[in-house]
Amino acid sequence: MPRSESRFSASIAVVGFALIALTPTAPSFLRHVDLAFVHLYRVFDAVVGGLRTESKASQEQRERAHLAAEETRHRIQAGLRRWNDRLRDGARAFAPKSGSAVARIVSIDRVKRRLLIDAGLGLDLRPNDVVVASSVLIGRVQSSERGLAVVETPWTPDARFAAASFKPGAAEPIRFVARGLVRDAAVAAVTNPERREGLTEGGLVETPDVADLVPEDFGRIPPGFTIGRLAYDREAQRRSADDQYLIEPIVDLELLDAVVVLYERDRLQQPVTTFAATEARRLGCGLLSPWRDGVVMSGISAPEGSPVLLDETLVGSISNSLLSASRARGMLDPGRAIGVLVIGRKDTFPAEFRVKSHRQNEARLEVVRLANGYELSEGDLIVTAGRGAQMPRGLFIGTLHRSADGDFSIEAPEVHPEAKLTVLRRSEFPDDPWGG
Amino acid sequence: MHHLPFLMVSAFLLYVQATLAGMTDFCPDIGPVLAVYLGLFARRDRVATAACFLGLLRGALDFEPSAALILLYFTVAQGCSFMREIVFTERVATQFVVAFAGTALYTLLYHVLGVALPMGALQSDSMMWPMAAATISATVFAPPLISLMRVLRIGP
Repeated sequence: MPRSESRFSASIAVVGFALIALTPTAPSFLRHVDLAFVHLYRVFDAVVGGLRTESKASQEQRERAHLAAEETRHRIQAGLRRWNDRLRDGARAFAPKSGSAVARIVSIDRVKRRLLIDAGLGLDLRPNDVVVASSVLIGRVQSSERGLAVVETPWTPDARFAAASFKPGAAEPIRFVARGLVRDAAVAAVTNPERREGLTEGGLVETPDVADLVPEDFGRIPPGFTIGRLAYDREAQRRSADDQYLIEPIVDLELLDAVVVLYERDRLQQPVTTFAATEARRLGCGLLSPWRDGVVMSGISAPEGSPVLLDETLVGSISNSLLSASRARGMLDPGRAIGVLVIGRKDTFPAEFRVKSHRQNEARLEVVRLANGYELSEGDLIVTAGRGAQMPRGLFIGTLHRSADGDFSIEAPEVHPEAKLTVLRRSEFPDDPWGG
Repeated sequence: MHHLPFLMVSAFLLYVQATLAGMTDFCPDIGPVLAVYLGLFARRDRVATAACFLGLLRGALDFEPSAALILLYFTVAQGCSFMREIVFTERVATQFVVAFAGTALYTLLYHVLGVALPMGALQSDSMMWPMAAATISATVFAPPLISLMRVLRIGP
C-alpha cells in the first residue's frame, strides 16, 4: 500500500476509534483502554522504588503521622458515637420497648421521595420496620435485601401514614391520614380528618395512638414522633372554598446522613463484616494535572464508587477499572460535591461541600448545605456521611481550615510514601437495590 | 525507527512529569511537545498511530477521557505534519515557534474539553496559571527535548 494511502487509513482508524470511545454507550474496555498502560508505568515505579531509601527524617515523619492518626481516630470515634446517640436517644423516648440500629442513607430517590438505607449485613430488616431520626419520623421499610432497605416516607406519592395534630389547649388530638402528593416540593395532604375545626397552620403533626383503630399484630408506628408541620394548601384553596391543609417536612432529607431503624428486640442480630478491604499498589508518580486530585493504582479491579484509603485516610473513590488497574477520583477533586459529617470539638453535624479548587493536598470549599444552628470552625474533622452504595460512614477525609480571606479549605493529612493502599468493598450488594 | 522506543521514552517522560507535578504547580506539559515532535519528524504514515499511543499513555495518568486526548494529540501532530512543507524543521527557531503554536493549540482545545466534559479540567476555579505556565515552560523545553530525541533517533 502506498504511504499516502496508509497514512490516510491510519488517520481514519484513529479518529474513528476516538469518536466511538467518546460516546457514552461505548463498551467500558474501549472507554478506559488507557488503564492497560498503568502496568507499563509500574516498571518505572519499581525502578524508582528500588532507588528510594528511608532517611531518619522520613522515619520521624512516619512516627509523627502515626501519633496524629491515633488522636484523629479517637476524636472521630467519639464524635460518631455522640451523633449516633443523639439520633437514637429521641427515638428511645417514644419507643422504649424497641431495639434500634443506626443505618446510613445510601441514596435518595428524588422522584418517588424514597430512601435507600444500609443497616449492615447482620441486621434482618423487615417491611413496616419504623425509620426515625431522633424524634422525627422518616418513614417505614417497604422492602429489604441483604441489610439494605427501601424506605417509604410520608412524602412518597400516594403513601399513607396515620397522623394527628393537637388543637392548642385540647386534650384530644385530631387524627387524619397523611397522603403523599405529586408536587415539586415534598408535601403530604391531610385527608379524612376526624374533624376539621382545630387544625391550624404551623401546628405540629405527630404519629397518633391508633390502638382503638388498628389490631395489635398490624405494624403500628409508636405514637409521639413528629412528622411535619401543617400549612395551608393554597393551590387546592383556589379550586374549592374549604380550608385544605398540607404537611411539610421539618427535616432536610438531603442533609441527613443516617437514620435509626426500630425493630423488635428479640430479632436475630449477627455481627457480620459488611465492608472488606483489599490491598492495591499505588503508582508513585501521581497525576499529570497538578490541579486534580486522584490516585492511579494496579492490582485491583473494584466496583465504581468503592472507597480508596491510604493508611486510614480516605483519598478517593474508584471511578473506573480495567485489567486489574484502577483510577480513583480524589475526594478533594475540583467540582466534586461531598456529603460529610463535621466532627467539631463539641458537636457533630452533617454538611455538604463542593470542592472549588485543589492545590498540593489542600482544597478550597464552597459550603452547599449546613445543618441549622451549627457553625464550621478551624480544626474540625471532616468524615464521610456514607452516601453511595460502596461508601461507609465515618472515613476520615481531612481537617478544616479557614484562610485569611474567610474561605474554608480541607487539608488532607500528610501521607508517607510507603503508606498502605486499601480499597473497601461491601461484601454483597444487590444488582437492583430499589427493587424495580 | 519504530513505535516501541518512542512509547517507552514517552512513558518515561510522562512519568517524570507526573512526579514533578506532585511537587510543583508549574511543571512543563510534555505531551504536546511530543505531539509536535511527531508532527515534525515522524514518518507521516505513523503519525496517527503514535499520537494514539501518546493519548493512551497520557490518559492513564489523568482523568480526561483518553479518546479526547487522542483527538487533541492527533490534531496537533497532523497540524505540525502539514507545516513540514513550508518550514525548515531542523532550525531551533522553527522548533520553538511550532512548539509554542502546538502547545497553545493544545491548551486551547484542552480548555474546550474542560468545559464540555462533566469531569473536565475547568471544574477547577484556579487552574489558569498552572496551565499557562505549563504551556510556556513546555515551549522553552521543546527545542532541547526535540534535539535529544533526534540525536538518539527515537521516534516512529
